[in-house]
Parts: sequence; structure tokens; C-alpha cells
Amino acid sequence: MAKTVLIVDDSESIREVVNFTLQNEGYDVLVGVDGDDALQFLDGRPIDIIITDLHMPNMDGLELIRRVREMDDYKHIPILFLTTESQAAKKMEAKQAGATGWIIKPFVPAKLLSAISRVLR
Amino acid sequence: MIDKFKAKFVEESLDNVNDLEEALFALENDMQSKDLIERIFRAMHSLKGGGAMFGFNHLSDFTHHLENIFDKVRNSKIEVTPDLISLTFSAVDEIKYLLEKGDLTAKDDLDEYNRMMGQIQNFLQGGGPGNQESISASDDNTPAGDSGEKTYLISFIPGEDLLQNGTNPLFLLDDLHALGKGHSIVYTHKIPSFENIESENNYCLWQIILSTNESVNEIKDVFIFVEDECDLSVEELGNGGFEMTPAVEKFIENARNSNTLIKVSDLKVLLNKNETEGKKTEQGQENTETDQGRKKSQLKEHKISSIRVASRKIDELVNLVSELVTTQAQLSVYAEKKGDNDILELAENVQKLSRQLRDNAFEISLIPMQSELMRFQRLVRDLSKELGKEIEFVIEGGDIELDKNIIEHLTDPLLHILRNSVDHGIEKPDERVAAGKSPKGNIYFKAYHAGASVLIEVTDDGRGIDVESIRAKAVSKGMIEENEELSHKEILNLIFLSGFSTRDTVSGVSGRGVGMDVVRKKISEIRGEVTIDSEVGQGTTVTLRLPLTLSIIDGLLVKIGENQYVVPIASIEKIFALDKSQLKDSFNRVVIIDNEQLPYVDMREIFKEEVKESETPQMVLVRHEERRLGLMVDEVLGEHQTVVKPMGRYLTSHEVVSGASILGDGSISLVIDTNRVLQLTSTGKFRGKTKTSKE
Repeated sequence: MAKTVLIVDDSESIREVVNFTLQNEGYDVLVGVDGDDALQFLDGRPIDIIITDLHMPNMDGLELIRRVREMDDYKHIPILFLTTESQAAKKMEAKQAGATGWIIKPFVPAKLLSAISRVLR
Repeated sequence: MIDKFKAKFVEESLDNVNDLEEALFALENDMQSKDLIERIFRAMHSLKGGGAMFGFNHLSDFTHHLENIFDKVRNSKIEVTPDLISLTFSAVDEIKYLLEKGDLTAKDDLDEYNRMMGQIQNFLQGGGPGNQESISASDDNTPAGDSGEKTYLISFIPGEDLLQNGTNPLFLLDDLHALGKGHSIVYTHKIPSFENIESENNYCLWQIILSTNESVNEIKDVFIFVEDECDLSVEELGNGGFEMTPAVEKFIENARNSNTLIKVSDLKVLLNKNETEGKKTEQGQENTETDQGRKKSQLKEHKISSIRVASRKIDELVNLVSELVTTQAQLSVYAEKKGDNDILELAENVQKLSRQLRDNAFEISLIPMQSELMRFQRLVRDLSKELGKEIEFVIEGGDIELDKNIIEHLTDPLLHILRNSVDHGIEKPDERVAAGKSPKGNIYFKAYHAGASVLIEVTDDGRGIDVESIRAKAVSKGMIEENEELSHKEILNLIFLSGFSTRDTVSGVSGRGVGMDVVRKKISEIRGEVTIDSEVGQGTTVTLRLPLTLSIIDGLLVKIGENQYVVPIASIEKIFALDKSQLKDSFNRVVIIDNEQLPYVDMREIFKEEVKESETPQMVLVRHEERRLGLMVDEVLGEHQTVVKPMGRYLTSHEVVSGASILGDGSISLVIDTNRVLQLTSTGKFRGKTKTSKE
């Protein structure tokens, strides 16, 4: 069965690129525009991985990660976050919130896929 | 493949830029606001990230530095100052330019780019120690490692909570094995007794002997996500590959049984001893990747609250709906004629649906004025600085929605009106003080609904327009006779005539020959009207009246003489049946209805229909703001969804008609512009005689 990816980003163009790339690879893709919007998908349905931006309105990525880690259904699924900041602080913060790994923007589709394959097979 | 997302990125970025600008304006008034700074930062951040992804390298670089400034602002290392805001405003312009052009090549462009960049960097350096990390955040810069195979001992000792963040250590081992030939040793001695096991914890540790051509960095890279959650060491065992021999096997077995990790030194000794032995035991773990039926693009669940659609598609939709409405009218007529109940019922349903469809289609094509307002704010701000004037620009009703085609046509006229207000209207601070006003001038921009139209008022409290000087000028230009009697309003309206400009000296700002006549022309192209009112010393108000949408209205079909006309329902207040006797007694075209005196006009006269005594005339009461007027028609026929078609060049001068519509039976009816009728009645004039509005 195809794996399901939930992508969360407030930037439409990023969402499109990620969505396009993943669908081409045969993933099922769910799309949220911010943390708040993403929560609606976390209703118990199978989701194999979450890829989220950190800076978002309404609910940012950190908060989203924290929330997901509190949900029984999704406690242990891999969560990758997108970041441009190469600063360690932000990464640490996200990791402490419960993120599995990260993808550094800008990325090419191949990089995105390899990051996913690191945590999901 | 990235290319096809470029256009979308640009579009989205323009939204971001808009938001950025908006936040900047707000920041100018509230320099401490954390929220605003955060908003600005986020907008820049998106621009930067996207820019790099979609090949806008200059943009990305540029916003990166800008972002650095605001990062410091965010962390209270730099203070928000008017200088910073001004700099950011100019930077926003550059960003827009970069979005339009992509990466720059022309020398002029590059010079300007570097100049701006220099300013930003100066600011950064002035505002604190610049810790400029490079933007090239690509993390695949593998240093060309030593060629040739080497063998390493990797010890991977994760913490107990490794699994809790969604990490699967087996994937890591897989990745290691993918780098070369490896042998994994797992130590399980830390697993507690069954009753003490925490099922969500990890108790295993691993050592891997790996022969690979890859560098140490590449190996460590496998663990990049978990390096903070584990003890990791990668130690070199020696050059060349690794071969499993019985002795080594035994050695490993011992280590596992005694629960002591292998030491590099011990293994090294053993390996060197084995060098001469030629036994081979292959240990390769091939990842047979199960074909998960990838490559199959599948339909997915999708939930997005809004989508972008090319405006061309919406135009087409509205066009089709217009056609549908016309066809539906024909169907209704046919059904009526046939008298077949089934068809009648169908026709009614189609009518209901097409009306809903129409309303929906129109709603889609409405957009808020907001996005344009930014340009206005910018204009007022920049221009007032340039002219040394202090101006408070207040916007009300920015969320009013208008047909996008109307908004497109609206921008230039409004910019011109605002330019006039800033340049000619508002005085310099000292002049204002001398005139007993506050040094700061005010310009109000107000948009609101009024019936079927939207009104936009631009009011300034500046010096106003001197009626006498307009009059003198009009006389000197031969537009009016010297002794012609004109009201205050009529004189003011002279400035809408072509070739009129109140300022003798042409300033760089306005009065470049593009005067109010162009404004009026543009506005009337979208079936709008523009009026002006002014008092010397008090200020000036320019009012635009615009239709909500351009093409379809709810109309009331009436009969005047032998022809059918359409009155827009939105402007109708009531419909009365009249008694002939009421009219007989009427004096000066006033009729008393509901104990109220109402002026009325006989529409037959206006349209030059044959005037004859009607047995049962009806009165359609229309209203515009406070003014009311009865339109006397011969018969009210019913409602009609009216697809308004423009009248064509020759008939646009017909003042009380705003368009034509095709009726269900194929005949044509004219759409009455009730506001014009009201206006012309109140000045006591009908077509042909009004010097003020027609040349």
C-alpha cells in the first residue's frame, strides 16, 4: 500500500513542489496550509510521515510537532521539518519538540526523497 | 521540473511582498510591535527560501541579508528606526523588481542591486557585529575523500528515547550497509527483565564493521538526524576491505557474550594477523526494495481552503453564465407560450438555478480592494516625503469587494486623484499653520456600498479649489461664456473637461496633462461616475460611484410606450399603481403618495415615446442616497435577469441608458440608468442641455 505523507507549509509553491514530487513517487499526499489546518488530518487515519515547515501563521511547526507527539496514533511516526536556518538552535528546538529530522531549503526533489527514505521505508 | 512552479511562486511572493509592505506601514506607526516584526520576518523568510528553490538567486541573497537585519530586530539587537523602515521600503521595491526580472543580467540593474545590497550590509554592520553565515546551505558538499576502500569500526550507542521521535535505527543500519560492505553486531545486554521493559524505549546498541569507499563524513551523515541522541564514534581500522574469518567471528562472538564493546585496537591486531589468510565469507545484505507500486500517481485526498484560478477562466465563466441567462430567458418565453406545465416547471427550475449560478459566478469574480490600497498608501507616503508635506492617510472600507475588472480600471484614476490631493490639495505645514489648521494634513479614503454600487470617496482637508479661478480659466479657454450663470457645482465640474488643468506651472508630480478628464473617461468606461465637491480652505472630495459588477443585474422589465425597458431592481424602492385622477391634480410634476410628496418624471417623454393618456400608469419609485423620484411607466411586466451589453460607441452618449439587454423573445430593451435620471431631474435638465458634463 502506498504510504501517506502529510505536508504542511504556508507557502503554496513549496506545497506544490513537494506534493508533485511525492505523488510522482507514488505517495499519497495530504496537504495542510499551517499547523492548525494540518490537525484536521490527524484524526486517526493512517499517516506514515509528516513533513512540516517551521515558520507558519496560526500554528507553527514546533507546536504542531509537539501536538502530534501527544497523539497516541501518531506518537512515533517520523516527522521531518523544513528549514532554511542552518543555526543549530532552531534544529535543536525542533528536535526537542519531537522532530525526527530535517530538510534544508532550498532542496531539489532528489534531496527531499532521500531525506524521507532516511526515516520511512 | 521546478520551472513550472515558478509562475506560482512569483504570484505567491507578490502576496508576501504585499503583506510585507502592509506590515511595514503598520510598523511605522507602532515601532515596538513584536507581532509586526515577526510578520515582516516571516514574509522575508518565505521569499528567501522560495527564491533559492525556484532559481531566483539574487532575490534569495538579497532577502537573506534583509532577513538578517530583521532577525536582529526580532532579537532586540537592532532598533526599528525611520531610517530602517525607509531602507526596507526601498528594498521592497527591489524585491518586486527581482521577482519581475528573475536574476539580473543588465549592468544598470546589477549596479542598483549592489548599491541596495551595500546599504543593507552597512546597516547590518552598523547595527551590531555581523554574523553573516553564508546562504549556500546545501549540505551535500562531500569533500573528495581518499580514494580507495577503507574499513571502519562504527559504534552507535543510542539513548533510550531514540524511538520516540520516530527514528528507526534499523534504517540507519541499512543506510550504512548501503555505503559498502558491512557487518553489524548488536548488543542486547541492556534490555531489562521483562517486567521492567518500557515498550517504547530502545535498549540496543550496535557496532558495525564497514568497508567502504566513502569518507568518514559520509558515514557520519547517516546519523545526522540522531547525532544529538546517541554516542557515535567512527574509527578507522585500516585500508582495504574487511574479510570475515573464523577468528574474527569468534572474536565478535566473545565480545557479544561478554557484553563489552569491541575496541578498535584489539580488532586491528586481529585483522592484521588475518591479512595473510585468504578465506572469504561474504556477508552482503542486499536491500531488496519492495516495489511499493510507486510511480503510480494516485488520486489523493485534498483539502485546501482556497485555490488560485487564472482570471481568464473566471472571465470565461462569467461570459458563459451571461449566455446561459439569456438562453434561459428564451426558454421561459417559450414555455409560457406553449403553456405546457411540464416545460413551465422545468423553465422555472432552470431560472432558479441560473440565478444562483449567476450570483455565485459573480461572487467569485469579486476581489477586495486591499491589494491596490497598498499602492495608494505607498504613493501618499513617498510623495508627501518628496514634497515636504505631512500627511495622515486614513483608509476605511478596504475590504469592500469589487469585480476584478473594475478594480483593474480603477487603479490609475485613483492614483491620479490621490496625487492631486497630495500635490495640489494638502498645503505645506507652515501654510497650514498660517491658515489655522494642524500642520499635518489628512486624506481620507473611504469605500462603501450604496445600493447596487460602491462609492469611493477621497477627501482631503487641504486648500480646496477656488471656483473663481476655474471660472476665469474656463472663460479664457473659451469653454464658457464670460457672463454665463453656473452653480458652484457646475463650475467645479468644468475640471472634468478635456484640456483643463488648474495649475499653470506643470509640476513633476501631477498636472502632466493627464487631468481629471482622463479620470472621468476611465471611470465611465466601467460605467462609473465621478463627481467633485470642494470648498476653498476646507478641502476637496472626489467621489467615484462604481457598479458592483459589470455584466448582469436583476432588472424590472417595464413597458414605456410600445417598447420594453429595464430598471435595475437594486435602485427601486417601491412600485405603485396610479390613479389617473392623482395625476390630474398633480402640480409641477409632484404626486402625493403615502402622504409624501414625490417628484416624478414621465418616462415616455424622456424616451420620446408617443405620449398618450395611459389608463393604468404605474409608478416605479427609485432612490439614490437621499433623493427619490418616481418613474412613470405604462406597465410593469416583471422581473428579468438582465445581461447588460455595452451600447457601442455611438450610443454611449445617451445619458439615461447604461446598456442594452436581449430579452427572451429576442427583442432588445434598454437599461435605464436611474441615477442619471435622478441627477438630471434634480438639475432640471435632460439630455443635450447640460454643458457641465458634455462638451
